[in-house]
Amino acid sequence: MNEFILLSLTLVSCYTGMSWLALAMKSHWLQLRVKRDFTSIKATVYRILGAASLCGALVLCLQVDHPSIAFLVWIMSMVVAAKAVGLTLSYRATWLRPLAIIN
Amino acid sequence: MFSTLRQSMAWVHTWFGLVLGFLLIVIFFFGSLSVFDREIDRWVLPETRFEPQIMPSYEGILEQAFNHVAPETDELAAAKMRVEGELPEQLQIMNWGAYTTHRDPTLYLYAEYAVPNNPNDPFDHIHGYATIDPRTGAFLPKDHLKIGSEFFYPMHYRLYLHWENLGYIIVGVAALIMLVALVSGVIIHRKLFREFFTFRRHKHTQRRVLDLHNMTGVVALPFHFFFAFSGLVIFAYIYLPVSATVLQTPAFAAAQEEAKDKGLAFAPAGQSAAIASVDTMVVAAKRLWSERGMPGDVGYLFVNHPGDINSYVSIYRAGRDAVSLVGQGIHFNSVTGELIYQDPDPTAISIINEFLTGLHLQHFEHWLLRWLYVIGGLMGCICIATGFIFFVEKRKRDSQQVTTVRWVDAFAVTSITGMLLATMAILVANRLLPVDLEHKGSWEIRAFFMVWLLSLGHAFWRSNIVAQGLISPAWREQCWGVALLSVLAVLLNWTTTGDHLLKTLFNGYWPVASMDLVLLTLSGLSIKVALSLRQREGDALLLMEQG
Repeated sequence: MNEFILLSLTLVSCYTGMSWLALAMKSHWLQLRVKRDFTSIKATVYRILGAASLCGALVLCLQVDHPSIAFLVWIMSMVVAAKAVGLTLSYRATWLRPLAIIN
Repeated sequence: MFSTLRQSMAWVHTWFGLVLGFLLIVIFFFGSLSVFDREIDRWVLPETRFEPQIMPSYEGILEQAFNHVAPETDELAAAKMRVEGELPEQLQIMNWGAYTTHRDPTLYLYAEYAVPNNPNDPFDHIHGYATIDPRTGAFLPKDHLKIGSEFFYPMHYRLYLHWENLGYIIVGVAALIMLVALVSGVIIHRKLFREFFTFRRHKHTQRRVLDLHNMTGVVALPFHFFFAFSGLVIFAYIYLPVSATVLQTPAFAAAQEEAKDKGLAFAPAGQSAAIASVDTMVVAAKRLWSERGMPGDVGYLFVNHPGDINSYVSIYRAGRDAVSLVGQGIHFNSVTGELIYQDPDPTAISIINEFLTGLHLQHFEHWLLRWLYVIGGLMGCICIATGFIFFVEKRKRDSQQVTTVRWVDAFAVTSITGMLLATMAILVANRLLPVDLEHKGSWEIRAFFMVWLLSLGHAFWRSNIVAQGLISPAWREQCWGVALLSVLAVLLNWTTTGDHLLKTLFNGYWPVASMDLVLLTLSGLSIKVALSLRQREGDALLLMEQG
């Protein structure tokens, strides 16, 4: 059960991290239709948040598995999360609004 | 010929990707299915629907089973042509082995038999294979095809081509071209990072499929690269067979020297001797693994020169908790039962090799990672499929390229929906053909290729409309076929085995339940795509009539 929770958190962390990396790009920020300006400082903060979230996912993977497997789980989770974020932006971009946490 | 690097790379990406893409999509698709090959085996062989088993007792099950393994009839017939004089009635057994993973209810056995009197090869040998129920030692019928591991999996790595190593070589060339396509794709992609998450689904078809092609190609780039590369590493010995050709003599000498250093007899002495208790050796091996801080089960058990005084037993740990397949080999003297040698910790090069091999062959126990692999593989299929569609969309209004476009579209239909149709057909055939039909597995394979061939004919027959800039109805019609056959497969599984979806879900028998769920999902998706295509066909026709 503990493994299940940690691996679920890994997927969530990868999805959140990729979403923040997407929000660091003006074109995707505009897709969210939030009434806030996109600035270069915000972009930097979202990049840092995204990278930190992805690093956090690696730490979670290492809690569950042998490092060799954990590395693969991390890479593949990021691949699938990136694809999921791309599809979310295309079909339901506004779902990512809660992640636009920097004003 | 081309003024810029990007232009030349675009040419390479387009044409090499197109030609080899028809193979690559097959390799990717069956690779994705092979992630769950053992589970597919259980769906197609209802008599194997029990829980995975550990390596059984040697004295209780394996010894008797090994003695009943026989040389493959086709290999035996071929060997008779290679030798001078007659082959003896009983061929000398060189070695035998048993291999299992945490997903195998059944146990795979193999044996090698010496072929004497071959003037061209003093070490000539042939093989025998068998699958047994490890609980009882009962043999599974040989003509009952394990569709997952014996058909879908070989389709992935050698396209089920048996002649020489042609299948392996074709797949190797395709993997190499895959790497070329990845590198050239990165070079020609103008906005690699800026469009990392971009999929403009409301734009026109050409833009839409190019976005999907780029997105799936770029986000899954690490997966595609590592799998193409590690696939080449696994079969490097076939692509560059130096130790079997130009370096045969030194390679043979090195193997002999290595065996001598380890104390493992390279050749039999020709003096018979009884084998000690292998079960005791297994207990000792497990104890030694525990002492090294890596307790585990036996993944691979190998007996060299059985019945000879030089015989030894090698026991390898199953790699269910790490990426490497098996490891930590422990070797015992078969006659005395004494420990001869323990494999040392792997070197840095061995670790890299085992990691690359293990990440591709994935014998570890990790269901999430398996599903992530399947998604990665299917993303590869989407990347290739959208490449085909983009090629057709870009050129279908060009009167100079009518024939090319028709051919590419027909092959695209065959390699996408046609492949799905053929895959559904083999599952339906498996459930429809009588259990006691002689060569049942061969008939199932025939059904697969026949349906695939029919889908090719259908795709060509319906492709004339593509030349007018319209969508071939073959896409939609074959989607309906896939939807129908996948539901039929689920229903036939129910009626022929009694294992309907509610029952398998309620009992938590996931190998069969998941197969049924995937088939039903595929059916739903196929219907959705077919309806969407019908709408688009109508829109395109309307646009054409309006001029």
